[in-house]
This record gives sequence, structure tokens and C-alpha cells, in this order.
Amino acid sequence: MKIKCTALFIIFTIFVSVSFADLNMTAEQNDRAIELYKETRCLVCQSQTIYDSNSELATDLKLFIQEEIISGKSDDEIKTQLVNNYGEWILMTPTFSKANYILWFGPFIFLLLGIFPMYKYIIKKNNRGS
Amino acid sequence: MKNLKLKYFLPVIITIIFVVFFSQLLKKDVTKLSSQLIEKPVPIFDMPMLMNNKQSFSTIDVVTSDTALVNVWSSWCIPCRSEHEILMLLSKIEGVDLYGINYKDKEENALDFISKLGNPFKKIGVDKNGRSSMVWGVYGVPETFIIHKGTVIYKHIGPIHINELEDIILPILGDIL
Repeated sequence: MKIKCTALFIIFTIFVSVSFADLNMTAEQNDRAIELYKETRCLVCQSQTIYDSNSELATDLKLFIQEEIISGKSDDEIKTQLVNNYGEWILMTPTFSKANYILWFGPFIFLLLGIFPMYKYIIKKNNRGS
Repeated sequence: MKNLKLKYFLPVIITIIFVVFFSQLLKKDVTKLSSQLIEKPVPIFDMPMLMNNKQSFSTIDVVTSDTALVNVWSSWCIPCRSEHEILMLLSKIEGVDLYGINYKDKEENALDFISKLGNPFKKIGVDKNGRSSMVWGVYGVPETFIIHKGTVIYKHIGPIHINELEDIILPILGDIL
């Protein structure tokens, strides 16, 4: 009885692990896939990445990424493909492209715009003080 | 004195500009993504047909139609049912070829859906696992694309409501037909 139970347990464990295993990937490929999952937005649950999501679309996208990795595509190629299909919004980090310069540099420009008058004000105040 | 006034009002003016700017952004429905395909050629795809498995529905079909509508649907999708009447109407417009992509569906259910509600489509492609429609940027059903001379000109997300048919779809078709 005990042996039967153990056997059953082992078989069950194997089945569970099989159902969780995705396509056959090397450990390195798997790491890359996970990094890409974390970079990819789930479009039906928009503030989540597909890594965090179990939605059907997220599962499809994960499978897509796995297949592309196995077929030898680079991370950038896969990202480009995703952007071509779904638009740039699918990436969690916006690309560093011309259209996004304002997005990337905007905060620094505003910071400078703030610092400059403050600097002038302080200099003026100091001068008055001395 | 004049200078002093400007100094005090500038922050207020800037704040107002920001409020207006961001409130405009809030009005946009971000859950509906604009398609990457607009103004782009029809993506390359090839899928088996629903009623005739040996033939396929592919890019060539859509490109050779002067004006084409591609509707992504599924029998399990409730909004698709309400949209179906609209599609039946659209299929009657001369000069417009209506194509369907059956998304993640069981064949028998899809056939049942079509036989009960009517078939507005010239061809129906089958995308069993949702992969062939990825090139279309499909992320849910229903979605409808309008294609004119091989270029995607509009994407509608969600079912086409009768109001949207009148206010959006028909004017677009009117412009190109």
C-alpha cells in the first residue's frame, strides 16, 4: 500500500511538472525567455507583464517568445517582431528612439527649467544679504 | 511692478497648461490600443479555411480585394453574436469583401454559429491557437480591420455597435468606395 502511494505520488509529481514545463529550452534560453516576459506588457491586463499574467493572451505570447528563441532569434529581433505586431506599447520600457526623446529627456529638461530660476533667485538673495 | 506680477502668475499659467494637457490625455481610452498596422500593408499570414480545409485564407485574398473587411470572431465570444447582425448588413454592401478569422474556436461550434446566424463572410480562416492572428496584432475578439487596396486603414476593437456602424464604419467606406 505504502509503495503504491509513493508510486502514485511520484507519477503525480511528474505529471504536474510536465504540465508546467514549456517547450524544451536550455537553461540559458529559459533565462532569456523570462527576461523577455518581464519586458512584455500583457495587453489584456495592461499594467501587468506577461510574466505576471496567466491570461490566455499572455500564455500565447510566452509561447511565441519561446518559439522565437528556439528558432535562434535574438532578443532584439523578438522585441522588434512584438512591436511590429502590437505596437511599441507592448514593451514595458519605451525604446530609445527619436519619437521618444521627449519622454526620456523631458524630465531632465524640466529639472533644468526649475533649477535655473532657483539658482538665479538664490544668487540674488545672497548678493542682497552681503 | 509689471515684472513682479508675471512672476506670480507664471506658475499659475503653467499649472493651467499642465492640467489642460493631462486632462486631454485622460479622455483617451487607453484600454483600446491604436493598431500598429494603420497605413501599413496587410500582414503576411496564411490559415486553413473553415469550411474547406484544403484551401487557405491568406494575404493574397485580402490584397486582391479592392476594399476588404477582416473580422476576427469566435463562437464563444458573446459580443460577436450581437455584432453578427451588423456584419450581415455590411456583407450586403457592394464592393466590399468581408472576410472572417475564426479565433481559438472549436470547429463544430464555429460551423454551428455560422449555420444558425448566417454567413456574411466571403472566406473564413481558422486560427486554432491564436498564433496566426498575432501578425494582425489581435489581442481579443471581436476586432475588425478595414483594408483598402492592400493597406490597412482602420481597426475597430470590440463589437461594431449600430451607432459605430453609422458614425465610423460607413463614413470610412463612403470615402473609399
